[in-house]
Amino acid sequence: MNPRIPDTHAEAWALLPWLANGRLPASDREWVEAHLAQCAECRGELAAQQKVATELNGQMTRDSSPEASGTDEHRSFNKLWARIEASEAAAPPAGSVKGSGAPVSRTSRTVRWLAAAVVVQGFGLALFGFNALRQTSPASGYITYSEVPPQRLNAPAVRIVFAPEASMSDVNTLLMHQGLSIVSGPGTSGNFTAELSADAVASGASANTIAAVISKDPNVTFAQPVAR
Amino acid sequence: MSVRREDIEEVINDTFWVVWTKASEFRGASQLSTWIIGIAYRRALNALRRAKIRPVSNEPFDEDSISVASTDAAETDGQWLALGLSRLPVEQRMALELTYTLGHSCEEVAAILDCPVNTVKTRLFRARETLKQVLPALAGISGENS
Repeated sequence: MNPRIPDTHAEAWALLPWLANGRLPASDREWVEAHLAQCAECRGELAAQQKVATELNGQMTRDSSPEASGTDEHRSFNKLWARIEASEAAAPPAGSVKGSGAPVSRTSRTVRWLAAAVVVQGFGLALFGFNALRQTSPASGYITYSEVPPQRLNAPAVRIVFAPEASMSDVNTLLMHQGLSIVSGPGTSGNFTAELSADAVASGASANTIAAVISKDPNVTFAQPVAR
Repeated sequence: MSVRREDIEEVINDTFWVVWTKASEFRGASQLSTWIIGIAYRRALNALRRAKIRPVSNEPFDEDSISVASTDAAETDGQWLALGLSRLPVEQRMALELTYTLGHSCEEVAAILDCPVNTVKTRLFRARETLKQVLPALAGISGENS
C-alpha cells in the first residue's frame, strides 16, 4: 500500500520544525524535501526555524556548561539521562513490565525509578521555560535549578540502599528521625549517600551508630558508614 | 516572570511522588523519558494555576532593552529570542522547547502534552508566527527567500 503523499504547502509548512530538528520520519521527509525544492517560502521558513533551533540549543549548551552552572550537576544529569535511555534501549520495559509477564527484579526496578526521579529533580523547571530562574540570585528568595544545597565539609555520612518496597513516606520518615539528608545518589547499585545533621552529631550520633541502627530498619537493605 | 523556591520544590516533589507511586503503571507505550516529562509538565501546569503565575509576559515589548551596542550578533539574537519566548503562552512555548531544545518528534511532543498531533502542529505554527513578529532576524530570513 502506498503511503499518502500530501505534497501541499500547508502540510509541509507545519512539519518544518521537525525537519529542522532532524526528527521528521523518512516517509514524510522525502515529500517535504521535494516540496522545499520548489517552494522558496518554505525554504526561507526552514532557515528561520533552524536559526531558532540553533539558538535554543546553544542556550541549553551554554546553560549546561560547568562554567555557566558553576556545578557538575548538569553534566551528571546528562550522563544519568543517557544511562536511563541506554538501559531502556537494552532492555525494553514492555516485555517485563507490561501485563503480568515475567517479573523484573524489584531492586533494579526501584533503582530505575529512583534514577528517573532524580532526573526530574535535576531537570527542574528549565523544561518549562522558566528562564527567569537563571537570572535571580539565591539571596532574593528564588533559586536556579542548578543551585545545590551546601554540603557541610566532612559531615559524617552513611551509604544507604533502600528496600524495594519502601515507600516515599517510609524513606522520608526514616531520614527525618535519624537526622539524615540525602546528598547524592542513586549510585549504580541504587545506593544513596546521606549526611548527618549538625543536631544529630551534637546529640552524640555518629555515622557508625546511625548505620547500625538503620541497617535493622525493614525499609533499608544496606547501610554503611562512609569513611571521610 | 519569577517563580518562588516553594513553587519549584512543590513541582519537583509532586513529580517525584507521582513517578514513585505510578511506576508500576508504566506500560512502555512511550519512552520512559516521555512519560516522566509528561508528568512533570502536568504538575507544573497545576502549580502555575494554583499559584496564579502567568508565564506570559504582559509587559509592553521593550525594544530598548535589546543591546544595540553589542557587536555580538549571536548575543543580540539570543536577547531577541528570550523576549520572543516570553510572549508565548505556556502550551506553545512547551511545544517549541520540547521540539527544539530537547529534540522530540511531533508524536513524542503530543504524548508529553497529552494532546493530538495536530494540536502540537497548531501550537508550533502559532508560536512560529508570534516569534516572527517580534524577531527581526527571523522575519529577515523568511523575507529574503519569499
